Amino acid sequence: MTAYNTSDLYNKYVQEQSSGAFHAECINGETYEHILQQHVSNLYIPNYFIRIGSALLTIICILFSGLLLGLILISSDEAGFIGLCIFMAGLCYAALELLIKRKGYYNAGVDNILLLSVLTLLISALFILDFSEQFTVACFFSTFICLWLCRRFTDSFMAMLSYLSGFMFLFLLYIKFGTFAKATAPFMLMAISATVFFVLKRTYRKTDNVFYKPSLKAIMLFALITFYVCGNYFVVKELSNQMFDLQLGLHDTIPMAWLFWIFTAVIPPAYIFYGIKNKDLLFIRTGLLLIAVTIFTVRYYYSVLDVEVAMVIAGVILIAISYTLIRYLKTPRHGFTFANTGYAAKDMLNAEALIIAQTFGEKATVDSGVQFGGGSSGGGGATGSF
Amino acid sequence: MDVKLFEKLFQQQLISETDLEKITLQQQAPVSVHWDVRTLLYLGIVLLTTGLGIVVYKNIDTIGHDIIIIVIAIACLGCFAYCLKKSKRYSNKKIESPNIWFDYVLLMGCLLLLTFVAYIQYQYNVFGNRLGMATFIPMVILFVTAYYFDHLGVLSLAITNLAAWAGISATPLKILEENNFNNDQIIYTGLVLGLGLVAISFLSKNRNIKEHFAFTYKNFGAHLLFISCLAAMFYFENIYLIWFVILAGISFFFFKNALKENSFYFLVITLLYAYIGLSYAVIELLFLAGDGIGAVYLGLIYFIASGIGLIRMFIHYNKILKKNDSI
Repeated sequence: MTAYNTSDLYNKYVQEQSSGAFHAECINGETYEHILQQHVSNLYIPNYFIRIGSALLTIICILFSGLLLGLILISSDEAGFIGLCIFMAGLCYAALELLIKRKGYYNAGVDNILLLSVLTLLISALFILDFSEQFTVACFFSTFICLWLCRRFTDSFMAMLSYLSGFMFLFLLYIKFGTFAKATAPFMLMAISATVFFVLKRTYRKTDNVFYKPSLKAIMLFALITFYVCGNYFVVKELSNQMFDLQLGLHDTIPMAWLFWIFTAVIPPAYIFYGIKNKDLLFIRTGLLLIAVTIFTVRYYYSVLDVEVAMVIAGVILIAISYTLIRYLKTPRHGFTFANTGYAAKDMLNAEALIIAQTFGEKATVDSGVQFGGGSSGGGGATGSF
Repeated sequence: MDVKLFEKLFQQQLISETDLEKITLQQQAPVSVHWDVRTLLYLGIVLLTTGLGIVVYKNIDTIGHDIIIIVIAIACLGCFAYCLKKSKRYSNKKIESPNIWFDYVLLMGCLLLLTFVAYIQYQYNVFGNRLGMATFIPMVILFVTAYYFDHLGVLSLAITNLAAWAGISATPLKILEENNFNNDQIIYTGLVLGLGLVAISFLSKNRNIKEHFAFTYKNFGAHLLFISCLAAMFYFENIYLIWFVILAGISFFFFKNALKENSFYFLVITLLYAYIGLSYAVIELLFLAGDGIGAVYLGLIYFIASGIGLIRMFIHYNKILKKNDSI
């Protein structure tokens, strides 16, 4: 089933869980150490920065290998390119299997990029020649390639891609069944999202197979998002406008517009409400993000306020909400607390400093429309905006 | 946490019964929404200040400059007064901020200060042609503020201002975009500034003056230094090998330092910058040796081999650094 040694995967899971327990001060250091000694994992899971570095270098390696192979097997016809793509995909896959078997790479940057290039190369091979229904066919294949890669390498990113391509495929297939299908497509897709979500939620709770839990969670997140997106007024209107050539203007409506407006407005708060009730941060965060999408949707059709006024109002509301929450949750209530129980606080502060330099670094002078003349140190030849 | 798993661990006698009880209890522990709320607050502040900025800018004719300047000055003074009232005494050590609002109020005060200075320069030309003064004064205030109130964000603002004063844009994502490195003046400025910042970083650490500021100094300094050095390599084409040796020296220094301090971050950026320099030198040398198809082949093979080699190096040092990692 999976390319990894399952006991390695299990031990990694135990390590993560007991690390959580240790940091929550449920077990002492001695016990934690003991558990770690009993559960040695041979997976190679490097530090985040090493991952990013390795990923960049892997891209360089694959790119130049492709160029080299292309030069050696010089052939400019399409069959040659297709052959090259498939051959490279095969090479990447072989490298992946080998690296995992020998070294146990797990989310090491290298394996993630190899996985992605297997998929990209195979799908590119499909797009070299033009044929009808190309996109539908590509979605179909991508669904199963990703599903296999997810199964074999327990990768949640592939799980998500598999879900999205399967979703696209069903959509493209369904609208081929005539006008009735076109009119009901949003509802069908919402029904699919909901079904996928509830089935996976059940599986997530029941399964003992801990290796695929992140993958399940990833698909659940995207099922929540597609459920909203398919009911969103902007998406439904503009997509049908584009795909079925309806020639609608900005203020023309679509059939059952009121229903889609209700979906657009109700789903995000419903997610947040559900999340608060069940202490599920996944729902709360998704809901918050989708509220922003809803605001943009409304503004697209009915921009009653100027952008800046809307920004000021939104800013005031956000500050008011967070102010209330900080005061309210000072002492834990309803299962939520403002106290920072995470242990990554120091890293977060350094990251925050960088974000401040990025967002405010030059804004303060630009906001008021002021520009210093070029060259701020006696004609130092500065070309920046300061 | 996965209670089922811990029940299993309990059966294997790896954890005691009290441990298991604590873990089961932990399931009912409140969920922390600290960073969620902070993100919302941050977003709100960004929206509010940007929105207000645009409103003021659009209505400048009706409001009048003087009033706006006075309002900005009052708000700025208000922010600093609040911070002075709330703050604890200065210390060389890290000071925890008295409350969650403190950091934001201080940041707002600093941003208003920057706007204020830029505004009076634009409107009344206070500093005349001595434009350097218009960045120098806020820079000094920012540094003092950062040290007195212990605020990393203000410190990074101060460093960006210092770079601006020297004539370089050091905003993280704009460092390449907005600087024209095809100019020896800016290259030398970058080198000197980078070296200076790195030196300050080591001073803070060794002298124990705000030790936690060291990372921010070193981060800005290292990127500036590496980028200027690479730019020098590309710009002074005739003597690029000399600059390559300098780059190698700097890289070696940072590399040793990263190993000493167990810093994955500096290890990775050092090796990547050094790799860019090395690749440039190798390609130049290859095309010097011959410009036929052979050179192209060798070049491609170099990239594949060196890429794999560097990944192996990452793996190797990842293991070494991890060993020294505490649990």
